[in-house]
Amino acid sequence: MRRAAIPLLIYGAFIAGNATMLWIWGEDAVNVGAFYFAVIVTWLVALGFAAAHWKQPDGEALRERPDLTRRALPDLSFGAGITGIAIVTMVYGARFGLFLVWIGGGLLLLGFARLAAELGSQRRDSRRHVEEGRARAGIDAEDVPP
Amino acid sequence: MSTIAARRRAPSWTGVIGATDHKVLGRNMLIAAFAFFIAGGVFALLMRLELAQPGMQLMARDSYDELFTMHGSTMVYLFVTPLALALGVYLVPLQIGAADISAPRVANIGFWLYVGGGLTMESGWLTDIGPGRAGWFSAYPLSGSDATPGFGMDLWVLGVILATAGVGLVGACLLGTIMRRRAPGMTMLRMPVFTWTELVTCLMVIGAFPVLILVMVLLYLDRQGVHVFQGFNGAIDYQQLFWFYGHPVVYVMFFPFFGAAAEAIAVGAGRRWFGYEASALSLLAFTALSMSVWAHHMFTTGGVHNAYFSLTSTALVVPAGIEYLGMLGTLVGGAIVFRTSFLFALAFFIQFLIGGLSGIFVASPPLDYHAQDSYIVVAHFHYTLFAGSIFGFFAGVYHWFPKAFGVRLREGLGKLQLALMVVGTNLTFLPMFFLGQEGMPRRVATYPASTGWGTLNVLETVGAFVIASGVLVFVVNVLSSLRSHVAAGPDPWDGHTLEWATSSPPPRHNFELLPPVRSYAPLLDLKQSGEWPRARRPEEALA
Ligand SMILES: [Cu+2]
Repeated sequence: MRRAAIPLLIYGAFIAGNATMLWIWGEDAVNVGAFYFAVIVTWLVALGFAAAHWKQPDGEALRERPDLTRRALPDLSFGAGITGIAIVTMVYGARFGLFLVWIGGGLLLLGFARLAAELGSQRRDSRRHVEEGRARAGIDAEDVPP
Repeated sequence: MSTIAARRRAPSWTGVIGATDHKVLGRNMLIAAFAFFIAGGVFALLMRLELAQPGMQLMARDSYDELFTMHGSTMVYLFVTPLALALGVYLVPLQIGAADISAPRVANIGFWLYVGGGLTMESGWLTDIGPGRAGWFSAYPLSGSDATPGFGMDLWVLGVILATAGVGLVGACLLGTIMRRRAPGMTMLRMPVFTWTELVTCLMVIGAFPVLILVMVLLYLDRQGVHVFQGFNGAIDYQQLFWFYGHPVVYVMFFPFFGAAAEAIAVGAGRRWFGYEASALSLLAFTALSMSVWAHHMFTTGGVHNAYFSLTSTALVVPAGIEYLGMLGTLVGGAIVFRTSFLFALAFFIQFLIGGLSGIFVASPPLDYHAQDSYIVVAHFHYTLFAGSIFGFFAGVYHWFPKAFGVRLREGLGKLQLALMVVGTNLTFLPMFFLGQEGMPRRVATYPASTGWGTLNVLETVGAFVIASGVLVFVVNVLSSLRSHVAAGPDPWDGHTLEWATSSPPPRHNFELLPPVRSYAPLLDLKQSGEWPRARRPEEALA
């Protein structure tokens, strides 16, 4: 377990206790239901972080070997911006007129396509970056976790 | 020695649309929130002008309803809540030694949902019967299509959904950053106080914001003819779900500003935050309690268990007291430098105290029956929501402006702004307690001259314009300071935390080199052990 999740678990236990107290006190279903919804979300998130094993991107090595670990950070994601604007256009269109839903839908497809392309090229960039760093440092691929 | 500040480049359009650098994203969010603040402030000034005298002078009653609805909605959904997270988006990665925010693309989508939601809500002004006018919490059945028909109210509902979803996405990214991107050695109990306040804020965002989105979707469906909220129970259910969001968001609008004030206090006093572990733990308790008190907004409905919610609401004084103790403990024995950021932080704690103490009164159902729907409530929540956010925000702005822009804000103008805002805030909101006690109800556009409420109302209107002049001084300060050529340097205030270990403004990856982290004041550790140069404090410069 990752100890960073402990504060989340403490907080989760606290609201679970309060929700249960409210339930025992005899409140209506909507009230108690909303509270337990928040409890469950919190616990799922906390347990997710407690169990997480994925690599910390800016971990230990950033200090020692920045050349090996520096990720390719996206400076700009046109795809994300278009996706956000597309969603707003579609929601607005739901009340304003169907034509906006179609325009927004088209933008959304464009945004998704662009996002997919960006993520692909970012992955290739990161890999190349790490390999170049290793080559410079004369380290075998096996020595450093990806 | 002074160096020349680097020239700032104007952001390009593509850079605004697709920003993924947390610093650019945070800055864009701050600018958007500030623009909505100006709009919400103008609505407030118009209301205050109408209320200055008995009778109707400026507008129709319907317009007044629109103004108080859009004032509250703009301030809550579009200004203070996004602002609270925007500070975190900019500062948290710097404070925990991360190169970036988690899932920056998702955060960018969140930013656009927020801005788009805000514009959706405000576009109601362009419709023929005006924008939403059922109050910022739009209680049902007032917000139903029978009582409040019209396109503008629908746009209000859609705007709330979009803006809340957007801010929620940003909060989720921030939570991921705090949990997953901390630098080596930066354990949870070594995170700066401000980052702690952002962490607990994000916990409330993920628990409470989805419930608001749900209730707004249900309200939208109800307005389109699907019967969702029916009869007494329907009205109560709407309020239950709304306030399940509505109370926690009050703390979303408080914690990060408390965190900003805490940093300004600690650095201003030259001491690390007193009772750090107790403060962190009490923040968790504070947050858990603030999730458990929502129905104190419904004491007088007769539909909730008042005893439970009164108990939890009153219990809030315990963690709040611990945070105040932390502030006092930090000041005692400190070598205080009275900078603008420090003074704003001090004002934050003092002004919020009035809001907090009046909260103990309205947390008691018998007293709340008396205060309900009167100006006492308006006074209470403006001392918490306005004083408890704005003063902390400006403490943070004066503290971190040099980090973000490479130049300091002018201290003289800053102190003038503080004076105007302290005077204005108390002139505007203190008389409301007395008007409420005398029975003036909230949400009224006028009152009979025979009540004698005119004098206090004129004072309040003057106060509102004094606050506005304080904001104007701030805008002048920003514009004139940005033209300054004197670089602030990486560490102008002799800071304690990691953000002061990198250049101002920081490079794209934030840090060329990360100093070791051994406590929640890592830079102060290094300064005390002589491994890091101290910035000269003004009193040392004099000596
Ligand atoms: Cu409340």
